Amino acid sequence: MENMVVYDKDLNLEATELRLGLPGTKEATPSLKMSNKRALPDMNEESGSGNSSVVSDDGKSSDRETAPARKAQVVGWPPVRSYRKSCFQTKKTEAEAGGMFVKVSMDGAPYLRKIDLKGYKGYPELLKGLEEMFKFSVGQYSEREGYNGSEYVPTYEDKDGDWMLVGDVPWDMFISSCKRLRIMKGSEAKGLGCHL
Amino acid sequence: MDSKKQKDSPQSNESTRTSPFPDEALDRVLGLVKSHKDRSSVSLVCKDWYNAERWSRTHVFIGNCYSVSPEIVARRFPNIRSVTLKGKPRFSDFNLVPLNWGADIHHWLVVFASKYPFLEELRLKRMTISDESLEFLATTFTNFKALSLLSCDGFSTDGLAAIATHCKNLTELDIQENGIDDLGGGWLSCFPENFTSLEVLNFANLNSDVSFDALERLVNRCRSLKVLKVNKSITLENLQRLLERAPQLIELCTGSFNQDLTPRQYAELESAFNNCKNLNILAGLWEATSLYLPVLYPVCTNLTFLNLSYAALQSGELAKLIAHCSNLRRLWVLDTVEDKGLEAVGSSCPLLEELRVFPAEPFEQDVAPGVTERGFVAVSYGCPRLHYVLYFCRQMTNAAVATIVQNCPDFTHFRLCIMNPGQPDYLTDEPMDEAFGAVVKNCAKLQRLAVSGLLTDLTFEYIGKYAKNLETLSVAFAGRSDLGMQCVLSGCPKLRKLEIRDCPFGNEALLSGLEKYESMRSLWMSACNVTMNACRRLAKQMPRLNVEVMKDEESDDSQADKVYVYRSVAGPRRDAPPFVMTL
Repeated sequence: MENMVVYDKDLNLEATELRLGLPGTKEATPSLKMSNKRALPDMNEESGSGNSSVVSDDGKSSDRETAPARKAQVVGWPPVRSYRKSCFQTKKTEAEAGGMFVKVSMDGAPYLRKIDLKGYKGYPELLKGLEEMFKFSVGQYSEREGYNGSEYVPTYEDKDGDWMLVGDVPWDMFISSCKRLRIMKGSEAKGLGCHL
Repeated sequence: MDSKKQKDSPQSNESTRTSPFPDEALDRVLGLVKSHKDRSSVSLVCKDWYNAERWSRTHVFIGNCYSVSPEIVARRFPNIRSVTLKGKPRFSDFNLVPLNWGADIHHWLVVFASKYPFLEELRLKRMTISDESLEFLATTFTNFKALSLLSCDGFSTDGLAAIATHCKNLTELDIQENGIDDLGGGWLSCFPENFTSLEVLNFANLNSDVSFDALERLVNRCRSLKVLKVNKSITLENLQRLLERAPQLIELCTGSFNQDLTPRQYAELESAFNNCKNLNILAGLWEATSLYLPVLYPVCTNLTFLNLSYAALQSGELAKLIAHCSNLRRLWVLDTVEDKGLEAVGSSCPLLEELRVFPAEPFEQDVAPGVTERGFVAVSYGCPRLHYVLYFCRQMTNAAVATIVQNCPDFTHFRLCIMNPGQPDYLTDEPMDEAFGAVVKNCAKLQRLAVSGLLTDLTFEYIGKYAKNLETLSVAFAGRSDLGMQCVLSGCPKLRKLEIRDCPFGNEALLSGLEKYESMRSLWMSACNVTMNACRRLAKQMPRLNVEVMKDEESDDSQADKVYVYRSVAGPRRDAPPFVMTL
């Protein structure tokens, strides 16, 4: 995995890390930006030599399984207008009006996204959602060391204006204090995890 | 509209000698010619006709605001009362165009203020308009009647307040699908108490609450109101009162369709709908459930257009409702209705001409199945007049599409979106080439096509060979080589708009269209294989085209990430932001 910094090979982090794809599938390096990354060397030949903002295996693995393995989160795809998206939360009856939308930015990505924290039940879901949205993996979280095994680290700005590491406080406390999220480059995030 | 004075051409001694066609007759006839294409043809006949046409034209349609300048428009057409302008490339709807790209209306308004002080109508699509511009519009054009903003941005509800406050003769306020700052619903209360001219009011996509009291009084005093589209803040109880005041409505978008009503309130609501004898178009129905849908039954037989794309109905709910809608021509639904719901459509709506199925959860994976090829096929069997489809699905087969176009050969607009990029026929694992091949072979009238799924160059060979009436083509994640795009450029004589993203088309393809682009409105290519040098060559060889490039961060210098090419008589843009490079 080209975008992983493997700190400790013995722990077999690859097996435990959160990432896109079925177990056993090797993921071509995902585009770290959402749009217009150059084609990657092991891109399936159906895409030709073109660059693409989609992780390569989508749809091509249909001979292995019945449904597409994962949906690539791509800017502007499917082509659904943004005003429509806000119309659809109809079946989630309670708390619909009280959505908790926060902006999410990622270092190097040209566009911010917005997510509704209330749409997630806890950290694993949130992190998975972020990984899918921005095409990266967070690696393995530990209270002591923060996130290991990834170039990117999820952080958030809390009510006091401080930048904190996602995952340190209980979920309920997190969603009530999180003002915005930022997926930082790992090199900049050092020092955030070591607060004990 | 006295077009006799100040005609540029010499007095028509020549024309009375060679043709006994008097000017008065020409003017009369031209007054009845409304279509832009026809007017354009008229203007090409001879100088006299060019002049007669330009003096008699009252409405101008500009498909790309950068293709011409307001000064040029005003010089040619002195008597315009109504302007329609479109701005940003369509892919800006899907966030592919950064903010502050342009298409700002303000300079146009300034020119219009001096050249068309009696301007009555302004319809904008994908343009930027600020509150200041709205205020300027409202206070400058005393005869202003109709404002329609679709997919626009840059303004807030304060701008709407200015319109409501100052436009004494307003007949139409249509605010649709815009990215605006919703600062509250107070704007609605700005219509003066003596204001009665409103015929069209659409604020369905605004979020904040308006004063129901103000709305009710407004509806009550505007006796010519034909179109009323309210937002979610309006309840069923509110709706009933509005309908009682305006039973003459032709088009209605309801507010929220979910509220605890007493039996008496329910009966009153039913009765209110029953009294709307002219209602042809219905939309809204947010959060509608089977409990309240029956109040609509009395109006269903008269409906020609039903927009359920905000109501996440299940198949059974839709089936029951649609059974009453035998005269329906156009239907928009969410894919929550599933194939079974579409089967019901096929059985209930033999006159259906247009179907749009939107995804309820476009970005989720593990969701209810949505619709598949089965639903589409079912509709095609039941609705032979179908000619416009927009269909979002997660699986499709070549065989199904072949069946569909055999049942419905009259397609003019075929927009199929298989949501997983590059997905093959799920039964055979083959590319979807034959599907779109069938579409273009069978549907001679096809004007607009959007392709998806796994596609090789063969799809584009088919398109180039058969789609002789094609005007608009949208392509994403498709094709294998430059040949694909070349086939389309050389084969489709009527092509006007070509938008491409994430395809392996490169410089050779881009440059093969050199001769073609001047006959088109525009070309968009993003995340393809085009280089800056090729774009420069294109720009150099075709000076009447504007070639604009936007680069992504972290892309290397030679790649042209987003290319937008369009013909223009106004020269390069003068308002381009720093991230738009004009070559």
